[in-house]
This record gives sequence, C-alpha cells and structure tokens, in this order.
Amino acid sequence: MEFNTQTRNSIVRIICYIYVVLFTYAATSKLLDFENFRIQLGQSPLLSAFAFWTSVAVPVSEFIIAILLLIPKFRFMGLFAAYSLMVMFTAYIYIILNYSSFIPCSCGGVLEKMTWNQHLIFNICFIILGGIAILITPNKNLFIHHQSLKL
Amino acid sequence: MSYKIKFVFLLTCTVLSVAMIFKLFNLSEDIIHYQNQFIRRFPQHVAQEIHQTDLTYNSYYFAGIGDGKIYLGNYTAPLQMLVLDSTLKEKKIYHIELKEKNLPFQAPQIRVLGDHFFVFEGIVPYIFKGNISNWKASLKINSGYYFSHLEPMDSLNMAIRYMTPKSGESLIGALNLADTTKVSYGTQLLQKQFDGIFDTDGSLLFNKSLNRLVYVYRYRNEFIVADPLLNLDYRGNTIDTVSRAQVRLTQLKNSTMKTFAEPPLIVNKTTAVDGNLLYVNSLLPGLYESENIWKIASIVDVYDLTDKTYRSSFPIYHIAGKKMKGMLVSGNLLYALIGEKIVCYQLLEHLSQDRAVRKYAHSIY
Repeated sequence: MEFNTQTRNSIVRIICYIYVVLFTYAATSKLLDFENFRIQLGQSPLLSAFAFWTSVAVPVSEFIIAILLLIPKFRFMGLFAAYSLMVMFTAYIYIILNYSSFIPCSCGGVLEKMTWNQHLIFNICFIILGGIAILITPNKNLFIHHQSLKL
Repeated sequence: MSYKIKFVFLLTCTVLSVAMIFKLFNLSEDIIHYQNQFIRRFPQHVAQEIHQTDLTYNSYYFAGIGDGKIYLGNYTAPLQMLVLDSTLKEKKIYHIELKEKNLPFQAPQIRVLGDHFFVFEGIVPYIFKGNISNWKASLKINSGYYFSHLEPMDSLNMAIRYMTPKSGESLIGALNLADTTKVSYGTQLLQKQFDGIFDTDGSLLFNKSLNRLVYVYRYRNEFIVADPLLNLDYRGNTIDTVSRAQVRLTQLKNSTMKTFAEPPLIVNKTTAVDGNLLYVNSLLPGLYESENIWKIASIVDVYDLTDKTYRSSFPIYHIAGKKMKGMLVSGNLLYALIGEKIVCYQLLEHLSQDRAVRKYAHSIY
C-alpha cells in the first residue's frame, strides 16, 4: 500500500514488457531453427517421447502469452499464464539437473553445468517478477478488466 | 481481489505446473524405455575411442575374446590366427594345424572360447576342436546337416544354425561334440514369414554371463533369447518399426537359385552381447535424429536382456569413409573392425541409462 495505484501499474506494465520481450525472442528463435529445436527436444532426457507436441506447443503458447500480456484486458490472465509457464520451465531444468541420468550438453565439461544453473537462477528471477506483478496489480485494474469483459 | 486470493491462485498454478512437468517426465521415460516408438537416446560421450591399430588387411573377423586377448580370424588366410592384447599394441600370429587334412576345405572359420578353439565349415560340414596352448586341432564332427552359423557355448556344446535338408530353411540347434548322436533342434525358435531362409536370417550370439543364446534377426525388429537347451525365454523387439522382413526375391533363369529382386531392408546389421546388454548396429534412423550422424558413424543401440528394455545409443565413427563391419564387447570395452583398422571404444556406465527410470520413477508417481 506504500505505492500508489499509478506506480503499481507502471511496475506491472514493465514486468509484462520484459516477459513479452523474453517470450517473443525465445519463440522466434525456436521457430527460425525449428528442425534443430525438434532434434534437441527429441534428445532431451525429459520430453523425448513428446518431442513432436512440445516442439509445437511451447513456441505457440509463448506467442499467445506475449499477446495476452500486451492487451490490457487480458494482462492479468496473461500474467498467470506466463508465471505458470516459467514455473514449468524451471521444474524442467530442475529435473534435468537432479533426476535425469544425463545432462544434455553442447560442449561438455564444467561449462555446460554452469549454464544450466545460471538458467535456473534466471528462471527463478522471472518467476519472482511474475509473482510480484500478480500480487501488486491494483484491484481497480482487475475491476476494469471484469467490466470490459462484460461489455 | 485480495492478496490472499491472489496468493492462493499463484500457489495453485505453481503446484499444477510442477506436477505436470514431473508427470510428463515420468511418462516420457516410461515410453522411451518400455514402449519406444523409435526415438533414440544419445547420452553424450558414453563411448570414446581409446585405441586404434592398423591391421594392414580388411579381411579380419572376430573369432573370440578372453583373458585380455582378442582373437582375429582372417577370411583370406583361414588358418591364421592373429592375437592382440586388449590395448591393441601387441600382435602375435599363430598358424593353426589341423590333424586331418583330407577334407574339401574352402572357407573355414574359427571361434575361440576360453582355452579352446574351433575350426568349422558348415557346407562340408566339419568341426575341429583344439587347445589355444598349441593351436593344434583334431576333427570332431564330419557329418550331419549343413550349417551356416556356429557359436560355442562351452568347451563341448555348440549353438548352431542349421539348414534343413531340401527346404534349406534355417533351424537353430545345439550340438554336443562328445555325443554327436544327440543334436537337439529348437524348431519353435525361428519364425518363418515367407521363405524361412532370408526372412529368418540373422546373427547368433551366446551370452556367457546370462548363459543364454541370443539370435537377432537381420531383416526385422526382433531378437530371440533362449537357454542352452533351446527353450525359448522370450522374444524382444528392437526399437525400429519393421516387424515384417522386407525382402523381395526373384528366381534366377535356368536355375533353382534365388536372388534379391531389390536391395533388402537391413534392420540389424552387426551385433554383440556382453553382461546384461545386447548391442545392435541398426541401419534405420529414428525420429528426431540429425542426418549428419548417419553419414559419419554407425549407430549402436543398447538393450538390457534382463528386462527387454531399450537403454540408449551411441555412434561408432567411420574411418576414411569405411563403416564398422564387426564388433565385440567385453566389459566396458568395445572393439570394432572398420576397414583395415581395429578400434577400441571405452563404454561408460551411464550408457545403460539406469538412473532415470529405475531409481526415480517409482518413488513419487
């Protein structure tokens, strides 16, 4: 309650934009090198059996979430979706690091492990940001959002 | 909406998301190992080349391994035995002496098991047996059905793939060199699909540690595991989807001989067996694999014979464009003949990919 509604709104908006940039970038780079992405997923120790569906579902949902976050009406919903997707990514990395019998690597040695751990920290930061955004979204905004849904 | 409700929502999302990923992981592991629909798994660096030696000739084949020695026979010098140490540095050549020399020898082959070696030729047929201390062999068998494969199971019992008279169909049998009247046949082992000759072709292996015979079909995705008395244990499947041999034959003019009408679809080319594991050099690329790897390497799939599961795959790289034509595994060392070269690969333990499914899958879900 220390922040006024306007400040809270701008913080939420900034977090949304960061998410939008991240998801758009990630989805685009996947689609640009789609064959390679699918091969990598097929080799992933976690999802190999579902490589086909995940290879489509992940970039598509990233785009949809990015769009949701850009439209004020759907922003709150989009935040939940973005938050959940980020939690899933993080759980994925966590499993790879802890339970998988091998860590898929691009080069080998200590470097690859570092990158995965950095990834984990990176993801956790995004989860925290998403959580904050959801918690501080002013109730007034939610109200508008409900009203506009009715229209 | 209060903080409390938001918080509950967040928590629900978190729990559901995490649960979903864990569930997917378990399902995926299950599918890969137990009901694989042809997706290979290539753990990084499970097989690394550690030794390589030039043999000068490309006509060698594996006759056996034991006591840190690798025994190589030579198709063009049939009674010569090349013995290498496990690091492929020392070479020794022995000449096998056969006591009976008046047989129509054409292309004798050799197998070494323990202290004994066997010289045989299925189309005469004959089997000699001797001791590797002096490399002298004497005739044990000079009658019976023609045969095309022989693998010694111990110093007396041989697993043999016979050719049934007249039809020429393949038939797995077990022969005791001491009592030649008692040949047993496993008539139910090989299953005919159309001609019983080409469709049942494959490689015969004997696994000492499990005391089991393994037969891997060449043109279909199946292997057979049987005990030394030829009782069927089970039929397992390799991960590809070719369940029927795709071989088309045509009759040669003015002859009873048949030949391929088109190149047959080879599924399982060379095989090896050691410990609990079966190694199969498959010729069929699976889903989500880069094509490049197939241009530069032979792919070896690993199966666990104790639970019929697929474990993982690794590449054996071509040498100067030549593909692997034979392999042999002993413990964590894999030897492969490639062109004029013999190479030794070290296999790492996580090749069997045990951790994921067996230790984890049953703990939560």
